[in-house]
Amino acid sequence: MQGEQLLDFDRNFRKLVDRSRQSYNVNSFDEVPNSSWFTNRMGSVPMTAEQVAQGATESQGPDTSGEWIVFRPKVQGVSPGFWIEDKRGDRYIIKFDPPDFPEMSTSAEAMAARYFHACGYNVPEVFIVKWRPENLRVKPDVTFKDRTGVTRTFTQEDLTEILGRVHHEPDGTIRSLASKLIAGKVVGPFSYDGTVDDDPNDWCPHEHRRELRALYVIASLVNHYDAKDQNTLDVYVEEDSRHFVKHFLIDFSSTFGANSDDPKAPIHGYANTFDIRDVFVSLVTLGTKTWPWEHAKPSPYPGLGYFESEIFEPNKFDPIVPNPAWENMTARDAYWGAKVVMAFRDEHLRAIVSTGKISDSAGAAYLVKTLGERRDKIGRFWFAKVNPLDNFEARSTGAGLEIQFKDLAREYGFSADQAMHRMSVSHKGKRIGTEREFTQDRLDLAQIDLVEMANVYSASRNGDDMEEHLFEVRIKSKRDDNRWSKPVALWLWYAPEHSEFELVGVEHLD
Amino acid sequence: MIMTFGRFADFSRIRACLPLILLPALFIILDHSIGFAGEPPASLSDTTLQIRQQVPNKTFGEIMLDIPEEALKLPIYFVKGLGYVALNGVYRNPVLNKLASYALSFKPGNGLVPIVSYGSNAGFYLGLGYRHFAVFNDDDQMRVRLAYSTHDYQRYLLDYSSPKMFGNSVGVGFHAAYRYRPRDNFFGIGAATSRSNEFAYTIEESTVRPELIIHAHDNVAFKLNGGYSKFNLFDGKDPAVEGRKSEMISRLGIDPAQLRSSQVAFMGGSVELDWRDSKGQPSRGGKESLSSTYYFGDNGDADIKFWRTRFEAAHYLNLYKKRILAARVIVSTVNKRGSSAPIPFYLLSSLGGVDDLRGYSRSRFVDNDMVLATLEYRYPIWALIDAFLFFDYGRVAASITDDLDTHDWHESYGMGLRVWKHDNVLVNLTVGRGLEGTKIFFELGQDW
Repeated sequence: MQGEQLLDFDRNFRKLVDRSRQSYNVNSFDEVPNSSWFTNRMGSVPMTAEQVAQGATESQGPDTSGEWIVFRPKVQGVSPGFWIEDKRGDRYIIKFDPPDFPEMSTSAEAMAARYFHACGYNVPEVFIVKWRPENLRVKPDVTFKDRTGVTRTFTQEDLTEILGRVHHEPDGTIRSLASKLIAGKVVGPFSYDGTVDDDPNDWCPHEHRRELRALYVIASLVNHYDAKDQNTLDVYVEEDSRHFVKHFLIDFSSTFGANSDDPKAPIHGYANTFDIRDVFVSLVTLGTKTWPWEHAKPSPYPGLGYFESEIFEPNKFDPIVPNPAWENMTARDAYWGAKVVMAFRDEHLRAIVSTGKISDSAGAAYLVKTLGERRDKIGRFWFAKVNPLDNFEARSTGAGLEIQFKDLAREYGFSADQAMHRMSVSHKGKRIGTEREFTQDRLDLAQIDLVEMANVYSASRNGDDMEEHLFEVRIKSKRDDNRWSKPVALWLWYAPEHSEFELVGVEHLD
Repeated sequence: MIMTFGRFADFSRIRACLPLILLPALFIILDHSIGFAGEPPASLSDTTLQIRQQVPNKTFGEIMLDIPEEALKLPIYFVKGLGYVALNGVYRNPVLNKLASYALSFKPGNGLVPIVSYGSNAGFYLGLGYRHFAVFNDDDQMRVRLAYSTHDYQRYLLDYSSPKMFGNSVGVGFHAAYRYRPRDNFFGIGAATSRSNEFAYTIEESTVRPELIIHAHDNVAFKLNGGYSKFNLFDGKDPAVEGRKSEMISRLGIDPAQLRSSQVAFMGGSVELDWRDSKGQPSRGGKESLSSTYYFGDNGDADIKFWRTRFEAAHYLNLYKKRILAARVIVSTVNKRGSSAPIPFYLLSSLGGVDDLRGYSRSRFVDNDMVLATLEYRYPIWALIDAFLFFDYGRVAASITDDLDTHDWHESYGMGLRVWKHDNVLVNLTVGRGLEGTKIFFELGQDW
C-alpha cells in the first residue's frame, strides 16, 4: 500500500502543497450526520458514566446457568474460541485470555467496545462472563476446516485442546468475553477504501468518510492498532421496518495493552507490521535514528500488557497495516476526532475501565490515569492544528447578530488565558470593512455592520446567484504561544426578504 | 544592445535555465488543474443543514495524472495479484500448506525447511532440509540437508547432535557430508597471487566426523573429534576459465603433489568459550575457540601429515540500543610434519568468501597460514532484521611468524542484511567489495 500511495500523484501533490481532499460526508457545520456508519453520541449528546459503561448492551449476556452448545469453532485469527448457543437461544462468540495473562484480552475488548460505542460507532454487545467448562457440549456433526485446511468433525477433544490453551480461575471457572451475534444477515467485512457497488446507500468512498478517517485519532486513545478490514463487519439489518447494511467495528482484543494472545510490544501502535518507510529510514541513517518505542520503559502492570502515555505521540500512532482512510485524514478530520476523544472526562474513563472487571485496583487506576494522559495529549496536539472554537450559536438581538462559541482549548485547560480573537468579514472573496479584535467568547456584529453587509449584497446582485447570499466571517485566535491560529470560517446566509442573517455553515480551515 | 541580445541568445544558457522555467510552470499548472475540496459550497438550496451528497468530479489535471499513475501501478497490481494467487494456492493445498507452515515456523519443530543461497561461483542453491528434534532423547536433534545449485554444485549433509547424551556434561555429535564443487577457483599459493592466473577446478569431498563434547561449565566446552575425509580433484568445469591441472602446474609453478586427490584421517580437540548474550543477535560478550587437529593420510603416492591449528575470537559491544560493534580475529596455521608430501592446496588455510574476506571469492588466497581481522557495525532496521557494515583485513602467508609483513594484506568492505531469531541467524545477505570487484552472498543459515 505504501508503494501504491507513492504513485498516487494527485494525492501526493495535494499533500505537498498542504491542501488535502477534505471528507465528503460532512455537513455544512463540519459535523458528521448520523448514518448506518455512525451515530453522534459523545461530544454531541451529553452521556453519563452509566450510559458509557452500558455501551451497546441491550441484554443481560449469555445465560451461564444452563448448558452451552458449541456449534462452531473459531479458526480465524490468532486467539482460540468458539460459538455457543445458550439455553435462551442467544448466540455468542466466546473468546479467552491467554494462560499467562488472565484478564488482559477480555478486559481490553470489553472496555474498547464500550469506548467505541460511546464515540458513535456500531459495535456488537460484549460481556465478561465466568462459566464452568462442564456446561459445554459440542453439537453433533459440527464440521470445520482446521488449520491445515482439512474439513472434519469438531470433537470434544478439539474443545478440550482449546480449553487447555486458556486461563482457568482457581475455582475452576473460565473467564471469557462473550460477543453477541449481530442480528441480521452477515455480508462480510467492509474495506477502508472504495465503495460497494451493490449497496446504493454506499455513495461515499470510505477513505473519504470522516468517521473512518478520524478513527485514527479515536483509535489512538486505546491503541487500537489492529484496525484493518478483517476487524469490521457489514450486516444487513432490519430497523424500524427499513432494511439496510449497517457497518460495525468488531474484535478489539488488540486494544490497550493486549495484542490478542500476548501483551503488546512497545513498537505496537508505532509502526506497521513491516513498515517500509521506517525500515528505509533506519537503513539509510545507519542506526543513528532511534524510534520512540526504543526508549520505552517496562510496563508497571505487565499483567495488563503494555499500555503507556509517556512516549505516546498522537501523530506517530501507526496501525498494524496501513489504513487507506487514515492515510487520507486531514487536520479537520483529526480535530473532529479529537473533540470526540476530549469529551470523555475522567468519570467516563473510570466507567469504561470498570467494564473491564480488572481485579487489580491499582492496575485499573493506572489504566484510567494513562487514558487521561493520552486523551490530553491527543486534544492538545490536534486542537493546535486548527482554531478550536466550536459550538457556535447565532441569535439576532436588537443590537445586531450575536454569535456565541466555546474555546475548546481553554475549556479543556490547554490554554490558561482568554484568547485574543481577530475577525474579518468577506463577500465573494472581497473583504468588507477592517479586521477587528475581541477577547470574549462571543462575536458581536452590530447593526451597522449588518447594514453594510446588506448593502454589499444589494450592490453585487446579479440575477439570483446563491453565492451572493453568503458572507464569510473568519476568526483567528492567539493564545499562550502568541501565534495566530488558522482561521475558523463561519458562513452567514443573508435573507433579504427578512433582512436577517443566519449562521449556515462552519469550517475549521486547515 | 545587439551584443547584449546576442549574449541572451546563447542557447546553452537557455537549455540550462529550462528546468528553472519548466518546474515552476508545471507546479502552477498542477496547482490550478487539480481540484481541492475546501472551497466554499457552490450553492445552498436552503439554509438548513445540507449534506454534501455530491462526490466532487475529477478535474482535468487529476484525470491527466491518473494515466501515468495507473500505468506505473501496473507492476504493483501484477505482483499483488501473483502474491494472492500464490498465497491462496499454498493455503488451499494441504501439502503446500504444511510445508509452508514448517518453513515459516519460528518455533522449533520437526519438519522440512527450504534451503536457498547464492554465491558467485555456485550460483543459486536450492534445496530442502529436514530437521527432527528429540530423536533419541529430549535434547538431541538431527538435520539432513540436500541442495543443488544452478552451476552444478551439490551439498548433502547429515548432522546429529546430542548435547546431553550422557548426563548433563557430556554430549556427542556426528557429521557426514558430501560436497561437489565443479567451478571453484584457484589462483596459486601465496598472498600476492594475480587475478590473471585464475584457474577452475572440480573438487569432490566426502567427510565423516564424530565428536565428543564435554561441557566443563555453562559457557565452556571441550570437543574431541576425529574422522575421515576423501578429496577427489579434477579439471574445472567453468567454461569461461582454464581448468586443466596440467596448465595450473606449468603456469603457476606449483608442486604437482599439491594438485593431487587425497584421503586423510584426522583427530583433534578444541576448547570453546561462548559467553555471548544471544546467538542470533549477540550484543555483549564474546566467543573464543582454539582448536588443533592432526591430519594423516596420503595423496595416492606419498604420505601427508600435518597439524592445523585455528584460533578464533569474536567480541561484541552494545553501543546504544542494539547498535552493536563486533570484532573478530582468526588465525589459522598449517604445519607439515616430518617427511610429509606437500599438502594439497585445498587443505591449506585460505581467505575469501562469505565466512572471512567477503569482497573476494571463496579461497581466493591460499597458503599455510592465515590471519584475518574483521570489524562490523550492526544496527537494527526492523524487528529481527539488522543491517551491517563491515571491514575485513587479512593475509595469507607461508609462515605467519616469518613472513608476515606489511605487504600483501587484503581488505574488503561492504554491507548486508541479517534476519535473526534468538538462537540462530535465518537469512544473511552480504555485498562485499574488494580490489577485484563486488561479491554477493545470500544464504539461509548461521554466521558469526
